[in-house]
Amino acid sequence: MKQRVFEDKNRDFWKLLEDLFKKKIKRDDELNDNFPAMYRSLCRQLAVARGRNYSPILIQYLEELVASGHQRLYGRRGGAEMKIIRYFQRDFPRMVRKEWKLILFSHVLFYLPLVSIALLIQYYPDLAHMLLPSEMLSQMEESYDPANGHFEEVRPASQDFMMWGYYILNNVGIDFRCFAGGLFAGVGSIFFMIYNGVAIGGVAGHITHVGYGETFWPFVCGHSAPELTAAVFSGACGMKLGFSFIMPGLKSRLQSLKDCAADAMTLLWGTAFMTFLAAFIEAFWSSSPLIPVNVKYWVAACMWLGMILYFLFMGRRRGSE
Amino acid sequence: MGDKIDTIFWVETPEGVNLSMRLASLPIRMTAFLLDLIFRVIIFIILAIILGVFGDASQGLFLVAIFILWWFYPVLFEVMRGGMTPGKSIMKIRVLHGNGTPVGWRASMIRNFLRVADVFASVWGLEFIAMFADSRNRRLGDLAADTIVVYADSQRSKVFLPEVEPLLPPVPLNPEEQKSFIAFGERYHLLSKQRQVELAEILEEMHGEKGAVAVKKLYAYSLGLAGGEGVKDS
Repeated sequence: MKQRVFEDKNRDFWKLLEDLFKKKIKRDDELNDNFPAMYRSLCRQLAVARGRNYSPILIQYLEELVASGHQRLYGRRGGAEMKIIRYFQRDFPRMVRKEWKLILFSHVLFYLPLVSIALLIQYYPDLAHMLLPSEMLSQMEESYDPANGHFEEVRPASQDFMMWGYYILNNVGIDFRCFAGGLFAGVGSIFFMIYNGVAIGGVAGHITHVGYGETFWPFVCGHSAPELTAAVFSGACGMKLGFSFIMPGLKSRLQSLKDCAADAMTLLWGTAFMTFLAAFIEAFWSSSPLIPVNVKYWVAACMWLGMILYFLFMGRRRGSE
Repeated sequence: MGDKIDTIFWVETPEGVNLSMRLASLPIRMTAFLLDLIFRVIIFIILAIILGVFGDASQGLFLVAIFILWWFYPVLFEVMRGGMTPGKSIMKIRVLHGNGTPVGWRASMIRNFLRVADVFASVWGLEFIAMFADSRNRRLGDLAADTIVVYADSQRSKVFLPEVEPLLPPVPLNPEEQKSFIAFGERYHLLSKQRQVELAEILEEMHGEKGAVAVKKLYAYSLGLAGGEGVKDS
């Protein structure tokens, strides 16, 4: 068949597809059902045109049509709501259990300096000044000083709202940075874990030592479960990324990086959500002086317990596939 | 040789045809990034003006807006608008999965969150070395997300050959030569008058014409070769 005849025969079909891709015509149900078949015949026509050495312009035109069809056929699919439910019901806790070694390692990197420094400061108070800048410490002292009295005041709701925005911007951003920092063989994530452990341990130890614990602990306990755990998870996400490159196993380094990045992302979504949740608690619950201190401690304990149970047992049933 | 220097990247589809993608180069991508940066600053200023009127509560919203603007601006645009942020859309490039399908949430988030690491690496130029070394111009984030950035070809309508009385060339031509004749017919309207004549007169020995008549002759040949009911030209 000569090119001209081939073109004449299929011209209307190509025009139809072209209009469809340019959104000149609305896609109806019939067209929807026929689209895969139409796309396949288009592919065949391209192969035929190439095989018969038709002119480059015709081939390029068909290539562009096929490319658009490819985009449309293999594009995004719906059902986002179900995916979100399934994610929290199954995928997220499963991924946490699957990566338990890295997550445990990340916990150790974070809590070992945190706890040991907080305890050491009780005996060697000067340690706080060696580890952390003095301005930071005095600023912390000032904000947790019970004599200051702003822990008893009810602050306006608008201010709660402002702090909520700040916590999201700052804390979720830290999670994402911990993740990205892992790309360099995990070094960035490891550094952030230890650094955060030292900083938080130093502040907590110092504030407790100077005797402001009664305002500090009720404030931080409420959001500690999601916030600290999310920080540790984000470090694990970053390490997953970095270690994939140095320990690729049987895969090529690039393939290992791709696969691990996908897994790390699964973990990072939940992590970001936990930090997001923590921002709510921190802004509207932790800061409220109306809630008795005992209630805050109990709620915090329940949140830790609930969270641990969630990660240990959620999505274990086979039926939840 | 062509494979080594060409920026065309082939993707094989499940239907068994190969799609060619033209990879976007570093300067184009950087321009797109800078444009996006400018857009983000503009959005930032507009938000600051609108939300600045109200008190602390709107400041909370403002901070959340900055968060979204900073981390999710590229992700939202890439996923919702077929791989194009506004900057990319101006530079006519788009992000695709490595297999040529439109970029999804996971890949887009990986490549954009890792941009922090890319920017960090670019301080020492590592970034650019990586991009030049990679056959598909991918930055670190692209490697992890398995994405490519390609030119978004405008969907040109096919120009079908114009109607004139088709003729067949007086001498037999091999397939390559026939293809160049047909290509001439198809690109005819893109050339200047002088160039058309210049090209047509190269074949003066074949058709014995000059000027506009020669062009028309060549044109008729291309039509004949492409499959019109041609009469052999003597």
